[in-house]
Amino acid sequence: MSFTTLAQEAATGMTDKGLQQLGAGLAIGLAAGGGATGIGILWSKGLEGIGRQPEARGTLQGLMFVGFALAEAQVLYGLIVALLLLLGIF
Amino acid sequence: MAVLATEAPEESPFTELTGHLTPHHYGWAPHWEIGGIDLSPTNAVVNIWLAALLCVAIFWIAARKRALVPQGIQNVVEVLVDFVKVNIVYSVMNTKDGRNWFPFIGTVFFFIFFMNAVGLVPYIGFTPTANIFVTATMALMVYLLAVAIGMARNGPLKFWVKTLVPPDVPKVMLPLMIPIEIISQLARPLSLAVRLFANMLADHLMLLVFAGFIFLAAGSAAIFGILPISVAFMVIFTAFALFVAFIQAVIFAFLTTIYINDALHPGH
Amino acid sequence: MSSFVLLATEAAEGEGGFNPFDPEFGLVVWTGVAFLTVLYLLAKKVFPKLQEGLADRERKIADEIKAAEKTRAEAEKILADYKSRVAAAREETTGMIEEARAAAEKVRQELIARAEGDARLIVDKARKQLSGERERILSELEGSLAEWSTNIAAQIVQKELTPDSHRDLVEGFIADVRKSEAAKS
Repeated sequence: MSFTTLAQEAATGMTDKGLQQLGAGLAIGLAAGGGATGIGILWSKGLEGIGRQPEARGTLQGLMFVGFALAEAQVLYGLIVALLLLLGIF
Repeated sequence: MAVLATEAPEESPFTELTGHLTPHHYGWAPHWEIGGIDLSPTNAVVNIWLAALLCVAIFWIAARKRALVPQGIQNVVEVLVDFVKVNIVYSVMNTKDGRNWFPFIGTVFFFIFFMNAVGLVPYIGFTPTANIFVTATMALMVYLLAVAIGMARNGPLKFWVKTLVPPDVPKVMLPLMIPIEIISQLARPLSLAVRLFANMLADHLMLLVFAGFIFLAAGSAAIFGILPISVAFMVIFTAFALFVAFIQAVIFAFLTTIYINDALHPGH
Repeated sequence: MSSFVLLATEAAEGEGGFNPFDPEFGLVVWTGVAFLTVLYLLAKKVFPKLQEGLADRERKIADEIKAAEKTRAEAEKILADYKSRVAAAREETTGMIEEARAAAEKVRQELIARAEGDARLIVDKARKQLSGERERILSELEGSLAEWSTNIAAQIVQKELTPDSHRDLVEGFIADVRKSEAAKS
């Protein structure tokens, strides 16, 4: 899919493939936005906690990484949906 | 942007590169098939073997030579074993359960970790956990084992009642709560499988997309700008992929521990 | 890079491009087999050995710590013994020095006391002697003064006085002298 064909399609109107791609973009984009917000809150609170109680750093860091991975996984669920849309499986 | 000249014009390099994420047969390998299931050693199968072999070999070495002060690989393995024991098993389970279940959870952790990490070995590497069927098998095995253990320990009826009926909830709410509990039980193996699969797939997809930029730019002047940026990004992202391989193994083992602990002591 | 492309084309041709959701039931079987094999080998053969090794090491370290503690306790006991002995010796020495000092002090006090006594004795004796001597001289003077004055007065007023009235006069004079002497001392 080159940019010229994309441009042609854009000129002629919407296609199913175009809508799929739009949906895929929205899926991963919104998922990434949500995940980024979540990870941002997680780390900000975690760092606050470490700042308040530096001796709890080890425990907090471990839990923060676990939470980070769990939040990141939500983004990747969006990625899976995007892939499903792009590949036309649904 | 110029498409790679030797390929058919409608094929983008991404289509080919992402083909790396699908298992493929080696030309030289035998074709094995039992009962309609293709069991021939594809690159995914070979990497599963490799992970299993690494897993066993490393522990064999670590357990064989006993020294008072551990050195080298033995030290690394012991630190990892201690990490799994303290930070994963004993942070969830009590001491008695922990002692019984540590071998299982340790095996899950190291097997998943090596399956995640073998994909980073250049040339022969393929990440088996970047395939949903591998992770689904692992997740289902772990989940079904947890359910079986729970039923064997508490009796089937008591186990399901305690698992599906949340305590301290008014009776009016039960028709609403029980379906939610059933869905959350079903979501456990699903999320376990999809989380691991999506993480490992995303890492390699990322690497391949940036490799694809190089192929896209090949033959045009843009290559001089694209090449160093892409290579730098791929180097950084490979390091990140190793980190993710580790942390996803931790998450998988951690959730396995939680599920088994829930099965042993349902209704908490 | 060419082999990379080759591999990619091979993959694309063989499996028909990228689709992570392609059914791969062979992988299900292989994952199960590999996991169960690893689980058997690790859980049955390796982890017990590893645990045993760790327990062994822990026991060894514990034993060594115990032995070291025993040695230390012994050493501490010996040290305490030595310390108590040294302290006793020091106490003894201090006692002896103290005693010697007290004895010396006593001797000194005695000597001083004796010397003082002697001195007082001598002074007393001298004073007594002196006062006796004075008494004697005074009484001698008394006698001779009466005689002398009588004689002198007789010579001066021989004709006018009878010896009796004369004597009265002299005695009055001596009494005066005595009184003035007593007031002086």
